[in-house]
Amino acid sequence: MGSSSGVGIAAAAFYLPRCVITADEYRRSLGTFHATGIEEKRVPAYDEDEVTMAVEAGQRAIDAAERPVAFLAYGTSSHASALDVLASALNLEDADREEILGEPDGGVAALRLALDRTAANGRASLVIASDAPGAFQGSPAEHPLAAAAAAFVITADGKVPRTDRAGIPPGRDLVASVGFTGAASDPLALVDAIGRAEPGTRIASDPLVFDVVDRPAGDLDVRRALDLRTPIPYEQYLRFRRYGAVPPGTEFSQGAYVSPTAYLAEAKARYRLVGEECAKCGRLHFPPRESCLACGAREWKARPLKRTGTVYAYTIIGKGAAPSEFLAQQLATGDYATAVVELDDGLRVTSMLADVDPASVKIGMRVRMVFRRLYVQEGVVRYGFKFAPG
Amino acid sequence: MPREVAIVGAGMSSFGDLKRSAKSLFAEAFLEALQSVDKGLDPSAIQEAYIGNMGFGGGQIGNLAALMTEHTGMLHIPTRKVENACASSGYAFRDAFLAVKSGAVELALAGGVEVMNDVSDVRKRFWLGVSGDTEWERLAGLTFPGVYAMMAGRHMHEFGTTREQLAAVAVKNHANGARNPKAQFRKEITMEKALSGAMVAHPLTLYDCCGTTDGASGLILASKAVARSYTDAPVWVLGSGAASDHLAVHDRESMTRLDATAHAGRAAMREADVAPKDVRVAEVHDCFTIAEILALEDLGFAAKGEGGRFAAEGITARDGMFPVNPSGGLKAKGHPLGATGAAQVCEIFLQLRGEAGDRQVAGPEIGLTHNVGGSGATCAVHLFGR
Repeated sequence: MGSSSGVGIAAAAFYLPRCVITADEYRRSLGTFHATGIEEKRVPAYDEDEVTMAVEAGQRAIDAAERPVAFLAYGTSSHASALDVLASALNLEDADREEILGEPDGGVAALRLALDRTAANGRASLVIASDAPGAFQGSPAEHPLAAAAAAFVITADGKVPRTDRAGIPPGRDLVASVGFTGAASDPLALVDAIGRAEPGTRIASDPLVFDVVDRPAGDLDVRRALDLRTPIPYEQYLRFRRYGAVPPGTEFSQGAYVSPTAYLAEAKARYRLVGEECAKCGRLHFPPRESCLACGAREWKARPLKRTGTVYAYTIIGKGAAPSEFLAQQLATGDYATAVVELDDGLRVTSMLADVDPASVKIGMRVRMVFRRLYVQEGVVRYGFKFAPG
Repeated sequence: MPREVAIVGAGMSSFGDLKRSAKSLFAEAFLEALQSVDKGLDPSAIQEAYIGNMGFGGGQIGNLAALMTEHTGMLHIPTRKVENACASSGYAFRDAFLAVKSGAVELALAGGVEVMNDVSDVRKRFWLGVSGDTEWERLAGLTFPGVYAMMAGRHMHEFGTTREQLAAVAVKNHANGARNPKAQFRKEITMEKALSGAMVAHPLTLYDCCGTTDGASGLILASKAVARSYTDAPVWVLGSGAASDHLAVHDRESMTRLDATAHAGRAAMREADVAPKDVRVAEVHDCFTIAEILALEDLGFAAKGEGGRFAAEGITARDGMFPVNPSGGLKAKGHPLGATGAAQVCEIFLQLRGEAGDRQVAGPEIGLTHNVGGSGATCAVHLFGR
């Protein structure tokens, strides 16, 4: 083979929300569906958005690449800045970062930024394209809109280097079962195409072209992920997309209050489950505390905790038992489960459970950390960990 | 048994969804406490005051104690609010006890007040669950029903405690509350009804949970030197114990016991030189049915895991071997957070003096109160004798 590696994709990953709404469900509910060719589409759960999907896809790409990342490029059609949350959640506080907001082609534009950066300095870059575009409820323009994220780690010796030669764009058939995912559409199609390409194929993602010299690292099997799907009714979709009213009086705190400053002071713990290890006796603590429970020492090493564990105790919060911060969620999703999770490190942590029918929760159930929206107050989304089955 | 500090007067307001001001509720409780002093007492004789209050809903958060005392005829005295969540007036009582015991004052007031029902439902839910670990439990979607529900689930998992055993606590305490003219819920409930309540936080239903209550309580403590000049039937404080714990239940070694209760209970019993078997009546902190079961175990009345049997088998009934919560408890009498601890003492005061009317238990010599803050971050236990 004459081809060789170069500045390009070393690892790739994607995230599809598990909820789907079908064209037939639109027709059942609205009598019509204005997105010809789409059979079903991926939509965010109530506690997901383009930021949470970006974290999940980005983490998968980082895990696959096993390289330190010096630059983060994020592209989305959303206008909400997310670089601080992404950097904190992905342990990239020391990386340079740029975001392209409000651009339907922001995903590919971010990819181009990262390729240029790595070409210039030889260091690895992370690209995340994530989007959950929205439009007015019920308008025809809303019908095709879906949600997904794709991520790439770019290195100077990527298995899928950028090339100046011509390439073939991926087919559009993925859209039929995912929907139109805005700035994530082309990057997601690229992940899918690379994953299915024979070595030597050149794939165009306008205006970029990639030469598939060899398989990059990571799970690129978008088609298999399509089997993991939870169909939801249209009415639930509307609640998940927050077209319902927020309960009056919950926009601002009227009592218990955790300020954004206090909240973000513990961002490493909230976003990526970083605890502390006592430098003297080795005991683990989460969340961080000022002195060791075992020996009283006050010297610490930051310690990322295991992101897997088991349900140690749980409850299902019904009407009347939700704090007001979670009333909007309860209205949208009904009763929810919260658990004390015993992490595989042995520590316990209290967490809401995600992606689960509360009635199916059992003591001893295996769970893993996911990154989700917790609540919104003063217009500020509070992100943090939850645990989901698996 | 030390007999250095006595209670010479005790009173409480009606408890319920009253929507009255803190001032009027406190005045009602204090007036009753004054009137209960057999040989009379002028408010101006009280030298020091401790008022439990959590500040639910906002309102008079600062300087509440001075407002309560100036409003009831006590001016220019040292007064302060004591706040330890639902254990606020259990601690107010302890502080008053220590002040009198130390010899610093001869007469002290310990009381509490809380108004919970004069706010909207949304505001109420911002104020419920503010006494656990706000950042790490509440923001996982919990208020106290959820925290206690997880403890109940663990207790059922580890010891086989049943829904029926939980419900039996509610049935018993409602039966007692029905005989208490000041209780918030003055009607008996059947086991069927207790089991069929709406799910609040699995496995706890509506009837496993106390209500939100407006109310106040007040106690007058006197030194040994002056007690007999106010009454010939003082109720003596035999022992006081208090302890704290991690706020978050995930930080505790066990979710099926409250270590704060165990430590506070042992300290109080040590001071009083009393064993659990000597206690003949108890008011324990049954904010949820599971909490009464935990209290029985943690105070040494029941072996670990056996607490569920007590109400179910009638042991803790008003006419049982060991009556618990003859007032109706927090469950039926009501739980105005800052007023609860002192109100528990009011009940034991009446029971030991044989003045508890329709709900009087048979001739107790020694009584106990157990007051928990939040889900067990704080606890105060007191022992009393005639």
